[in-house]
Amino acid sequence: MPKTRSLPDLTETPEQRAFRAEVRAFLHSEPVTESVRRIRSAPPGDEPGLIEIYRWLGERGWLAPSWPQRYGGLSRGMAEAAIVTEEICLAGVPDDAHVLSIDIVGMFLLGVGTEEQRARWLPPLARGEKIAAVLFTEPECGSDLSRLTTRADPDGDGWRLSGTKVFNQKTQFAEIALCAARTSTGPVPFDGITLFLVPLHSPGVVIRPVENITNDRFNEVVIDGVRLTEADVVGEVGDGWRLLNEMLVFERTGIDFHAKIRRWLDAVAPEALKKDADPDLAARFVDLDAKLRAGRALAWRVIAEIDQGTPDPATAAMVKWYVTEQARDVIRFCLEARGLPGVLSAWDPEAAADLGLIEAACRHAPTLRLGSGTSEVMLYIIASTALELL
Amino acid sequence: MTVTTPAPMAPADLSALFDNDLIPVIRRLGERGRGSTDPISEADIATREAVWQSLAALGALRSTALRETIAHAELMGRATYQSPYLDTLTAAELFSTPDRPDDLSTELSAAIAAGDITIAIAARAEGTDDLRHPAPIEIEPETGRITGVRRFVAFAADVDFVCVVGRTSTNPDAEPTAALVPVDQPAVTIRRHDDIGRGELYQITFNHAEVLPVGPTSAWASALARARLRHASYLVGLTLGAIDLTAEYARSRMVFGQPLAQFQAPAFRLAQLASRAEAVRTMLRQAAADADTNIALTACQALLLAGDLALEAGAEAVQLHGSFGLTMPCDAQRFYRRAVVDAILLGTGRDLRNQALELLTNGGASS
Repeated sequence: MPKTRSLPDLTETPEQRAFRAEVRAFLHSEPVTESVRRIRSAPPGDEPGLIEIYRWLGERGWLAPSWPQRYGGLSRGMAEAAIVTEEICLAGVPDDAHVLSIDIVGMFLLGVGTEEQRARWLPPLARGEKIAAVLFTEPECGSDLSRLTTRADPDGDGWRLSGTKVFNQKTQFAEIALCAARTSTGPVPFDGITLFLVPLHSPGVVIRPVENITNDRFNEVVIDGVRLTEADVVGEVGDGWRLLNEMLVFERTGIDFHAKIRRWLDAVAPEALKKDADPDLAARFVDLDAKLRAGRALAWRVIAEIDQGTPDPATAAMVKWYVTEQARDVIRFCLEARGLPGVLSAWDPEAAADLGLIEAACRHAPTLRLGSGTSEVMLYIIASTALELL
Repeated sequence: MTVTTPAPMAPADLSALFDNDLIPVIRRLGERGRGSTDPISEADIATREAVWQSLAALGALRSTALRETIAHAELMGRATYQSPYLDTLTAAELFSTPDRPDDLSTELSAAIAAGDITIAIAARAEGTDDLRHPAPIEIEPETGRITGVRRFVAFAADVDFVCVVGRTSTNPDAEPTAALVPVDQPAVTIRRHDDIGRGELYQITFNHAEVLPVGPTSAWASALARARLRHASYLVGLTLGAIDLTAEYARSRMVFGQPLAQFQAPAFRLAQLASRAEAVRTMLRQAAADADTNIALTACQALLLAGDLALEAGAEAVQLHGSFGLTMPCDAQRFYRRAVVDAILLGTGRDLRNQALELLTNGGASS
């Protein structure tokens, strides 16, 4: 019998549909759309951090609906969390701080954090009052985190943390960051990596901006001898590599990637589908629309697998690769549909009514194939695990 | 035909039938040489019949439910099993609609479930016909006999009935009629097409042929959409089968001192195909499970993606097998040849794009 990957139930329950309708209605209400408009038309460099929309979602328990109520959630499932993420992205609300705080750091703490860590950090994250960031990538290692060199050297009953982390985002707004560091060295590079919660407002932490082509800056974070204790360790000492690989599934569901690309495509749908539209353009729209629908189905499958307690890194890698691979084609299509007005930024007085959406999308699109594991890393995971090649 | 009321049963499990031991046999059933007009061997005929009876015994012919039959179609594609299964299901759906109060549908369903009858769908007069608007067919008002021609009919020589779908007026928007024609009568003549798949595609000519009761069917559009979903699943199965075959070969074939599988270029290409296949596969399963899905749109789009995918996977299988992939003992060329036919059997990419576009501009939701 050939290997067949079994599929979970992929239907949305009536309760989930009702939840989506409620979230969508709120995100399309006047205060939210006005807030999104202000963010999208803010001056260059005025990057969104702790935005009011997160607080409004947090008040309703919607920012982290899968978390237990005692931590500020609604004690609902991963599907509800994915519905919020999807609707946030479709509505054009910036989601990077949400993904970092809730889907990555929050989920790590919920999964392997101590009760003290959870009680301290989860409620303010779920209320949208604090941001948590991630410090994984270093100047000499990105995709291959086993080569990281940030050190946590033994110091009494704790450690002293030193190293440089790059290409991290929202660290300038964040209270804490989940940081991967080496607590021991040995012949196997995957061993000896430990995850810590590092307070960013500490002497010894310097955050410098690294400008990039998107609206959200990168930061370089230099850590020089920050003192950490047992209470700052997330999971077990030396278990960081395993935890990182397990938890990366949460970052690679494809829900947010899909919704962002879908928003770009839908923005030009009226041009592509109008009565006298170019037939070639219309045909290309059908192809891209079909691929995004297939990608969305796969993204929801990953959510269902996580919800069932059977997350599969290979499926997550497949959806991450497949969905983000559409970004280039969608962008090219958007530019063809819109022509030169598509290259005008939000700051041009003649920008389209969607505030330079396509121009911003062109700058954001390359990040999708790089962030959360590059396309090449995804293909490596798929080839080596699902197909037993390489 | 015996009328029985089927009891509700668990979905049929076909994994024992399409297993690693039987797949190589099933895959080559009915292969003919190029241009050959010889019938297939007695042994192949017997094996085909045995497989069909196994399907019946396992309960695969009891249900037309999408959730179950989409999974079956994928398994069959993976095994490159060619049969009247998909067409028989479509015919069963056409004849079991509530607007047919006669006993025909009950009898047919029971006979199909028991493996006693098989049906081929015949909707095209020409290979370029738009399947949504089947070509006209002439029906004699007094006798109900039909005259006309249909092409690209799968397994016409093996089935008991051909389900002819056609318009009885020249109005292209007229509701089509479905007629069930027994194949075994002098007024029906068939000729096998010699096509690249070397499978079972026929031209069939009706010359005042007798029919079972006919009548207009409002179910054709829905039956076509469901047939396309199952066919897309069959194509996803073909893709997965081609990937399996090629990955297996890549693990064993040594090149430049190491297994082909350890080279990133071919491994990545297979990983890309596998990811695309899982996406379409999941899209199909979701459509089958979710009653609110716009079936017609999903059918066009999933078939469009699955057709491209099966063709690419077949071509990649040949490429990665090297020249051996072109030879008859290698199944890579078989995947390729069959994908060429199956990718467009229920609509070319152009047809499907145009039809999807109509559905999208008539209010199809985007997400």
